[in-house]
Amino acid sequence: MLSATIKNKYNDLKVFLNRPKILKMVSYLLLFLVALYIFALPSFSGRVGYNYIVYALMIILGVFSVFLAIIYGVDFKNKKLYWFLIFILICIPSTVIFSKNYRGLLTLSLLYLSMVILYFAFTIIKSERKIIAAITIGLLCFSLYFLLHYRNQLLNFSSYSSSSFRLGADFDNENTIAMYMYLGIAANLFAVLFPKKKIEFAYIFSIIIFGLIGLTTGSKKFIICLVVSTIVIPYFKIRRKKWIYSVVVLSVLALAIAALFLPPLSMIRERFAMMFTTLFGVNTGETRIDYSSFQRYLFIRYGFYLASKNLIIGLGYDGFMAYSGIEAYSHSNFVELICDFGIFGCIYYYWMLLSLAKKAKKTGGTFSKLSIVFVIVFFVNSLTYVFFATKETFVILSLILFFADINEDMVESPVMQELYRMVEINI
Amino acid sequence: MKIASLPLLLKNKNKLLVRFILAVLYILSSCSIFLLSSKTSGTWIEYCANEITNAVINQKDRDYLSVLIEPNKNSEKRLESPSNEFFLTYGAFGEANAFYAGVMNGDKKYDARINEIRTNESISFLYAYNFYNYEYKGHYIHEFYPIELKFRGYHDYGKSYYFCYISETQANSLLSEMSLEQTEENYQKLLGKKINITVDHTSFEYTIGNIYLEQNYYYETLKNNIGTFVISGGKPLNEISAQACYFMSEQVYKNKYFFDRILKEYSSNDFNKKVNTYNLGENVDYLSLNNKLNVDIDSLTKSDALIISMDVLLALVCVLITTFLFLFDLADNPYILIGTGSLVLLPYLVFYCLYSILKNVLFFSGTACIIHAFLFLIIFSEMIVYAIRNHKKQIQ
Repeated sequence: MLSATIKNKYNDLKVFLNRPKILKMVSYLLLFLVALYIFALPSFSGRVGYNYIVYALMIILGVFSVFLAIIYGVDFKNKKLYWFLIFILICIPSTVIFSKNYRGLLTLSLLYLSMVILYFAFTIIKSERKIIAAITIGLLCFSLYFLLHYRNQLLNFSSYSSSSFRLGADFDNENTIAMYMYLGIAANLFAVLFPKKKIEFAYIFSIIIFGLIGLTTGSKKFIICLVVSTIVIPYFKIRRKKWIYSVVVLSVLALAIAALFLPPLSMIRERFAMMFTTLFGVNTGETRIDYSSFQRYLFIRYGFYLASKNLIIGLGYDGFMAYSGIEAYSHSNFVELICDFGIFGCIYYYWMLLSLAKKAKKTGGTFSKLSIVFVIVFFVNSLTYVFFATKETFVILSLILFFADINEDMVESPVMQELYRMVEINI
Repeated sequence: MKIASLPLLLKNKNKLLVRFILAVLYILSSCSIFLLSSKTSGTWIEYCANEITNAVINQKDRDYLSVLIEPNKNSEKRLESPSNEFFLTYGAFGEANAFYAGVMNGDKKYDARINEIRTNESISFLYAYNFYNYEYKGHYIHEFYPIELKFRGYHDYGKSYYFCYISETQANSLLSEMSLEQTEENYQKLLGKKINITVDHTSFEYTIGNIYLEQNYYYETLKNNIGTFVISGGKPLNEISAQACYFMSEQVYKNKYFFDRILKEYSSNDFNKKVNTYNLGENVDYLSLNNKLNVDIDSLTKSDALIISMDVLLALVCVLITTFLFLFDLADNPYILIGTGSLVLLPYLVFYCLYSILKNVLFFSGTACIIHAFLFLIIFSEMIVYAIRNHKKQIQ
């Protein structure tokens, strides 16, 4: 009797939530929560005390997403959802035996959960362009916060040429802030090159804002990601006209190199010059040693050495940090994975990324190609930083998962689907 | 034998024999990589670094063991400047550890004492000649050594390099001798004061330039390895040599890096290298370590190129053998992947166990392990790709 009552109530709720207006409201509520979460991530997650805001938002988003995913019948048997869970299972033996960093495993599990929650939210919203818009709004709100916070430094133009001019440390690591900005630029660039409505050209302004903020972080990784994306993204638009593609890419690269010689970007130029001089002995006119690059080179070598001595299962989560005596990561995702989780963990992680990119290519949608860009950038970044357990990586992974499943050119939003159903019933 | 006939060969009754021969060939090739790699200079350096690391660990109550390098008396070669060498080592592995100091009398070979202060111990000198100190959290830091200082410093030495920064304890003793209280004002009065340092019965006048604080990791490492010291420039005696002091820790790779640097930068013909016996823990066979420090590395590096080429060739043979094993058998026997995977891991596991038991890195060198890392990456990636393709073919 009771179960029948509960079942009836559940069915009533389902019918109610499937009404077109309610569907639309639910969609916009989730978009709002996604935008809020994307704003909170770079704004608060790297600050002690404030990071609880991010946790609270994730819990709210999680409750809504999971509940609505059950109501709307999201496919929980999607195998790709569990690929990362298998990776976590691979991480367990070495962590238990060697590094005993159970907190790290818990962090990885929570990040995986956040990826699943975002994926559910995206699946319910179903509109790739609306999701991109929500992410852009979130990042724009963060950009405003960033600009207001650093207004004094930004208005002091003479400080731009200083070698210590790097902004973002008050929020999180400068490279992390730069990666959020890169996410915004890549997504918006795709929307601008493959627009559905004229208003999407307005993303050009957000690209400029994200680009300027990314430059103020002084992150070399940001420049490298931009360069890679500049080469890859236009390929999807104009690959049939190879000579136009070549001219566009060369022009953008030439402009970028020329821009590095402008006084406000002299700090980034100096950092690259020091890096080339230190690592390759190239005469760039810069005589100072780039200790950051020198350290990264040594850490990578050290990580590979440690990894080679424990190739089967690795040294566990944060194994490099624990066994090297260095209180830092190995600065290479590839080396960190092989050092922490052995050859199988490393191969599995990259197989996962490649499979997602391959699935995205098969799906054939416009934004599916963005997944391929992200995976290429991941591979390039594997040599320069550790990203397998960072928040921004899991946001990107949730997007890749979603884009690999859906082709907006073929599928309409839940609102439109419901309308079609009503039209069919009436006919 | 033609390639076209090989699949036929595999399909007949000798299949098992062929698989067995290939497996033996793989094991021999893989083991040869481990054995050949033990002859490289890198492995020798790794072995010596392991010995030094074990010596540091065996000391139990000390975190470091220091190595002193000084030019031979007849040699014209000089040490790298302390600031350059310091920054190179400081930048190598991060800031929270001490790796290098430019010193004089680090082994307490000479009896050096400050006349005005009664001490039980001969003093060493932390060699420096640049003193543009900078502000740090309410006090100051030396220009390149991470030593915290009480003041920015007294710099009116004129042409004399005979300045010294004394410790807070030495400053307190000096104030006590002068019947002054330990106040900031009185500490300030010590700057510019002349003191006499006697080295082997010869006195030299020094000017006090600053007072350093006896805190932080760098000071603790120096204290444990060279005892009581002052920071100064200028040699008190011509006989006293500048010494490069490298601190070996409990981390093998760091010791390997610095050991490699010591052997390649400081040849045994021009430099005298030894383990500092001051405050050395028990159970340290420093004579054996000294022999390792003075090895002629050039003779070892001569055969490196040949050995590594042979290792790479053997690795290629391993890849070909494993590819052949699963590629031509996969359609008939899907379980060949598990067998091949086990075979690939077997030699590595055997040598890993040998190393764990015998604790001798010659059985399990970094060179061989890195080659095997690449080997595993190629082989297992190949296996995954072929397994997926075979699975799809079977579904179709």
